Amino acid sequence: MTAEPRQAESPAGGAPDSSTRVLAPLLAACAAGDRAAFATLYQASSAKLFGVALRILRRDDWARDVVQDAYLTIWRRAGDYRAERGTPMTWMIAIVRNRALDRLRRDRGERSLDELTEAGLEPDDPQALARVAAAGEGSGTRLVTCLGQLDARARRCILRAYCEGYTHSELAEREAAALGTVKSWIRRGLIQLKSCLESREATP
Amino acid sequence: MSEAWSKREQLAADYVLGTLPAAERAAVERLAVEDAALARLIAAWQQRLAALDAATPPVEPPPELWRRIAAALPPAGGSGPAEGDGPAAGAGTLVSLRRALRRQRWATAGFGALAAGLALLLLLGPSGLGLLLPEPPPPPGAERPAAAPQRFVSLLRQDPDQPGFLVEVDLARGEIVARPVAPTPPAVGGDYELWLVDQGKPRSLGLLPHGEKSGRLPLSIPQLGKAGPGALLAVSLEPAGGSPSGQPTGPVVFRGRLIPLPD
Repeated sequence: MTAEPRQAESPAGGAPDSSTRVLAPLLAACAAGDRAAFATLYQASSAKLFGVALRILRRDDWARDVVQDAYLTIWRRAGDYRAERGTPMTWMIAIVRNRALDRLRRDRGERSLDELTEAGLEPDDPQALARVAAAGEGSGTRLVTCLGQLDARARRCILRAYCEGYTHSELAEREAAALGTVKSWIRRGLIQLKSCLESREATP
Repeated sequence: MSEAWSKREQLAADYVLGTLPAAERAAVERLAVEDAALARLIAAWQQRLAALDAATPPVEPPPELWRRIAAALPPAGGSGPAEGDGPAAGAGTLVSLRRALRRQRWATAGFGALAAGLALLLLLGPSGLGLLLPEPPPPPGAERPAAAPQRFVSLLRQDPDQPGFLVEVDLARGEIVARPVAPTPPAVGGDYELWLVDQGKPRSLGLLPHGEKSGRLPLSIPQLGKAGPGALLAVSLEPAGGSPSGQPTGPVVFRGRLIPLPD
């Protein structure tokens, strides 16, 4: 390899974070068929990916299947990674999320809503929000601030959807609201979230 | 602001949020291949919500998961690009990895974290090694695969984002190759010693190089290949020449799990 590995810039234009410095060259080596790089990539990222899969699926056996499948996809598609579209970790997490959501949609019948409510994250739990605020080198604080400005119902629905894979109709059932109502809470919440995040990125 | 909220934006946000039914999810993925604007909107939403994933606690998957993944990889040397077979297979990676890391000098923050880690380890004393490296209980009837792996790799880190050494163990050649992947902090007045920690018992594998030089160590523990699936490598800071007692006496500065390489 003669060229310097591409460095992922954060969308805000900041310096690449430390995990990106490690993962980006490993992904590039995977794209060239380097299995030692793949093993190292696994070692450097599997606990994070497994944690995300467990958060969405809540079942150890499903999470293992999904993470296995995700790494095989990462190996096959490592060459598709584009630094300008986000960090390697975000790219890999998106692959895990997609697989996890597919699995949920396919086998949703096996997951009862009661089960979800019991084990669920409490979107208003200050500790969970504090963890988010501490994460992501500044972007976490912005996200928590902006989530805090949303209507509580919109915030709950957005967090449950992203973190636990709730569908619109599961959210409607959970909130005892009409499907259309829940959709419009989420839509308004996302519009507000985007504009809040953008205004804060512009003036850090 | 809401005039900027197009149909595309809605689709991207719903896709990333994960609320779309399976068929629509798949349709969005197909669309995004052709539609660069949609792909950019998706990436922007992923980035906006990424802190939620960053805040999710990592969970170490069971060691058996890597064996499953390695076994499911397509066979080597197929249509893929040329690939070395010996322990140097990872050399290309390491060149680029090290080049990328060279700019990342040990930042003040890194030293701060290191100092905090050292203080903790010093408080814990020599037994701290065992305390800080909890062994998962061996799975019941842990079976060894028919053909035992011959090569292992371990990325030794100070914390998830601060790698120090990449260690490759080759049983057939009877050697361990340790390459620094980032400028390591100097082993002030002493040496870095590499340990195999299996079933909670540390055994010395030898002294590691300082600075940016790679080091080759003869395999001093031939049974290393029989180490359990939870085996770890750890590096401690020892007096010059290595631990006088045969057990780690200084703080652990790097550690990593030993995983078999796919062949």
